[in-house]
Amino acid sequence: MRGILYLAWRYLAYHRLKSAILIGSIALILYLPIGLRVLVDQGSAQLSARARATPLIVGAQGSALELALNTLYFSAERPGRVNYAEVGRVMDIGLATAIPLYVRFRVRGQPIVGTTLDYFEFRRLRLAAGQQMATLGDCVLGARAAVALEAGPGDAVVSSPESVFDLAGVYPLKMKVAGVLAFADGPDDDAVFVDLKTAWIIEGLGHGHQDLERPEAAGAVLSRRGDSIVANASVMQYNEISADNIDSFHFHGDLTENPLTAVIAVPPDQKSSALLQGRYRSEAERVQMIAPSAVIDELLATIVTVRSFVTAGAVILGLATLATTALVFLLSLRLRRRERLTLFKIGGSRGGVTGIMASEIIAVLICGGLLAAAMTLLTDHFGSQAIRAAIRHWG
Amino acid sequence: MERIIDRAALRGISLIGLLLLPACGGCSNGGRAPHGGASPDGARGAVLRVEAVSYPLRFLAERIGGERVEVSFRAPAGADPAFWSPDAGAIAAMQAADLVLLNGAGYGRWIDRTSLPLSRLVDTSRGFRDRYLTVDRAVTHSHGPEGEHSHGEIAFTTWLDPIQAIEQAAAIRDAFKAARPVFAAEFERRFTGLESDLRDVDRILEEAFGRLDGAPLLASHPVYQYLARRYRLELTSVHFEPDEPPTEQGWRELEGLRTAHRARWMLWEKEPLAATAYRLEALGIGIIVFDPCAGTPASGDFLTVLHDNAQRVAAAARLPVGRAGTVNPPSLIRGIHTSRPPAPQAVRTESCRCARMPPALISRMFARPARTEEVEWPCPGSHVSVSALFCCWPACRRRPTI
Repeated sequence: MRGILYLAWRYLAYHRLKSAILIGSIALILYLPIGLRVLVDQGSAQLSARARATPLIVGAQGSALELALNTLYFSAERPGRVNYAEVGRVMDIGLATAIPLYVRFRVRGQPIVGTTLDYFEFRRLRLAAGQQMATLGDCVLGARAAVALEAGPGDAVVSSPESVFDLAGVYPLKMKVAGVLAFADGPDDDAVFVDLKTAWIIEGLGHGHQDLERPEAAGAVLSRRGDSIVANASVMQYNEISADNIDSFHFHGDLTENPLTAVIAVPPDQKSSALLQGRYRSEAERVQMIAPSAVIDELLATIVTVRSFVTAGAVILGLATLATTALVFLLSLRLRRRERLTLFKIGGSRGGVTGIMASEIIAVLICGGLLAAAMTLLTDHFGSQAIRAAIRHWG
Repeated sequence: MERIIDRAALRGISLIGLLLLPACGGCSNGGRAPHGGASPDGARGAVLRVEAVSYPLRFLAERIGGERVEVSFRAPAGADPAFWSPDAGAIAAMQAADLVLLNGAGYGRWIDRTSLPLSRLVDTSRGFRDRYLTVDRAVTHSHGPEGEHSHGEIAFTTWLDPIQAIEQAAAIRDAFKAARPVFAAEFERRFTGLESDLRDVDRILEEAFGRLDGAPLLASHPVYQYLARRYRLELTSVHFEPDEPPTEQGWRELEGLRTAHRARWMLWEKEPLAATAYRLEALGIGIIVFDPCAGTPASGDFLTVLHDNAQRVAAAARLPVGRAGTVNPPSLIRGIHTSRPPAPQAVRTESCRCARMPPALISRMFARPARTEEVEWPCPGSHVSVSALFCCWPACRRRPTI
């Protein structure tokens, strides 16, 4: 028996290129459906887990998916805006806690998430270094954002202008890094968290400028009438919020009309959730309330056909590859007819010669199976990271 | 749900198609507890850590919560809590509190510049936000350690209307009940007692202001809007600071106001400078100190301060017309709080060092004659008149000593 196995091994080792191709082909045939299934399950679980951990979202009428992706993953595509008054509306109904989100700006590609401290509690984010944001102009970095921006507590980051050609638009705000979050293995790791009001300041809805009553601002004053001072655009606006100038920062207009991209509503139980959703079902409603889990499930259900095609394609490809492999084996056996005759002539039994051929095929199949298992394990281990990277890149 | 296959959907599909993500299978919830629900501390009935942004809120919270709450009010004594700004330590403490009681109506400008957890903020006046009053004339000005500030557009001293204070107390009670449901009955019982006390104060203030028979009033600061509405006062405000001499422009505006508003009394947050009081007296305007009680009082509590305010108003109403002299709060309090008239007191007359300044210099500096005058300080409760030498230099803070 050992002789049979030795001869089979020597044959495979001698024809190493052919053996490797056969093993790789078989491994791929096995891996494609299994590994993809693992990848698919992980991706689905990740998408759904964050969606299910976010009970309800209030946002502008329009694409529910865009709203969900922006709220869950801080995607670059922005949904329509809702007013801050929606927060008060959710709170006044009394069925849920409201967490406002304003995701519009970036710091060198990292999303700036304007929110309140409740978000950290809601997502169970904890600080790894520094302290929580305390005043306007403070920010807290996600773990990966801190690495990407090469910043830590005490450093500063600057918001990126939306367009270099829009000189009168959003201007860069230098923000002090108050703290860095611990790694949370999610989209929060990539975010730059600021107070909602800081995000509004970046947008220009609030600002701080030099005191118009001081002599150094006299050149910018156009007129004084009673308590009203009119100045031109040369008034120096602060692009950094510090202890010295924070008192000069103020907001114009009604804060309840300031923009949000979403309001996360967190009801304490299913009954409250159902009642709250009922309040937003009116035909005349100008905002929409979505359950992110339902939106993501709907998305996944929408592409079930794609999955079917992919699965069918993988099966057909596998069958074709199997047939090709079988053909390779058959042709190989035919080509090795003289080799078999030689083995018979030197005293080899029929069973022994058949055993050598069978051992070769079984060894190739086992090696292919082992390789497929190893690839599946690697997919299981690193697949989730690959999916998150892809979501970050494509989201 | 509306099915919208749009650009985002296509992007989503392409994203998932790229990753070959098929239908969800075996999705898990993650099992996170509902945000904002009863915390383990709440279930155990631990002491509720509460931060209040004004003294009246602290008082109301302490009355309702009793030993079940630990209420902090961090504005230092002497600072106006409306314009004070907390330091990093105070902000951290507020962020860690179970509840932060806000007055609402724009009270505490620092709140707009501070990161606080929205779910733990209790806007106590939100229930009557449709009844907020606005300040007639918002002026930016500077005084004291808080620096420059404006009184904003919304009047924020909501608690000066005791009925509104009851509504604010009800909001606090509801927040306490939600945070510590195990003590709900206790909070309700305490609230009932507090409500009764506040209604008593309301009745006393109603009687006190009723004695003025609708006489027009002035206010040194625009902080009495809700008081005026509650008690139907014909009240007009100026911007006089008790610890600063009014500007000549301010005096001229006051005189202009009086042509149409013949007020005999001016409500002050605290005693003005003696020189201010003297000049007001010369104009026939008496002073009634009506403490808004935004900060911690030196003695007593919110209710006693309102009681004292009512007593001073009532005492002013008892003064004969034409004798609207300055009502010296200490003497009034002494006279009113003592059921029997106090024993005659020795009268001590002091002269002010400022009087030794060359009269010509004072005249040049202040554009009015340098003089010391002997004025009478009527004390209606005790029927004691006190004389004192009194300096007209505005910066001089020497007061007649009783």
